[in-house]
Amino acid sequence: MAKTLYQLAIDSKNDTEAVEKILKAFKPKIKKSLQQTKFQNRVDIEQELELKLISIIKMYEVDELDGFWRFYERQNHYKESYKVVK
Amino acid sequence: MEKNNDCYKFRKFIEENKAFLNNPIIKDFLSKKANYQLLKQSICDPTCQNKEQLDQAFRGFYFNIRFTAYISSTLYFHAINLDKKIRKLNYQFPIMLDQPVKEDSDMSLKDMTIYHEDFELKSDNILDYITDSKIYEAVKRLTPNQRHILYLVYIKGWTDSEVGKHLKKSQQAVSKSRNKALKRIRGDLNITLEKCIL
Repeated sequence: MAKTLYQLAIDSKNDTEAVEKILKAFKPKIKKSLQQTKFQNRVDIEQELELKLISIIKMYEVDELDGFWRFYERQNHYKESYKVVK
Repeated sequence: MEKNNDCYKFRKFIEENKAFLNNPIIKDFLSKKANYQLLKQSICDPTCQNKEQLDQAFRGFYFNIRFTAYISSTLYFHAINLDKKIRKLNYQFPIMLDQPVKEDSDMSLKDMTIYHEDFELKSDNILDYITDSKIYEAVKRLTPNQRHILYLVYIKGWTDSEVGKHLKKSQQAVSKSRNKALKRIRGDLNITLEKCIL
């Protein structure tokens, strides 16, 4: 079974194959983004975007993401602070 | 009996957190049967393990949303920005200068870049070239001969010896009267030589 994106992102910190898989998964998005650009520049920009994507994958802090209960607390906290402002 | 009691806890949780459960992320997350079961489990039976399981499942789900959204918008805007940058560079440093500006025009960038001066002042009186009123008055007070020398040197760009040849005078004489004229202008404008250099 294919790994989930989450698993791949965790692995990608020290596994270039995982990076490649994520890159492949987002390839259509890159192609779509290129439609905004001039035809002559596309190949260059495609390369730049891939580089950018790799740096994002490497930089992204997977562990800092909220778990369910953390998310729950945060939402409630946000609501309360919103009430106070109101 | 105990089980019923625990599920009451779950019902209470749902009752109390309607707004939270209506959050689109949570709603989507719980629309999966397995996740819903995990939540139920972790409320009915709040052990560390159950909570951790729920957290993990949620993290995977939440990550998908966050990461995809982040990458999508980054790629989108980065593509546009890069394209803008390249276009700007091409505009500032064009590779071809002699291609037509528009498809069916015979003008090229090269023709437009070269500066054509259509208007040229043609007068052999130096007074016609002066725009500053104070300098105009000062030059007006010079002798016609001095004015003519200033015209030849500063408007036509001749050298002193060329002027001398033209007027049948020595280069030294031209230089002297030119310097005298400049000195007089400076005197009229109340400018000392040092200030002039500054």
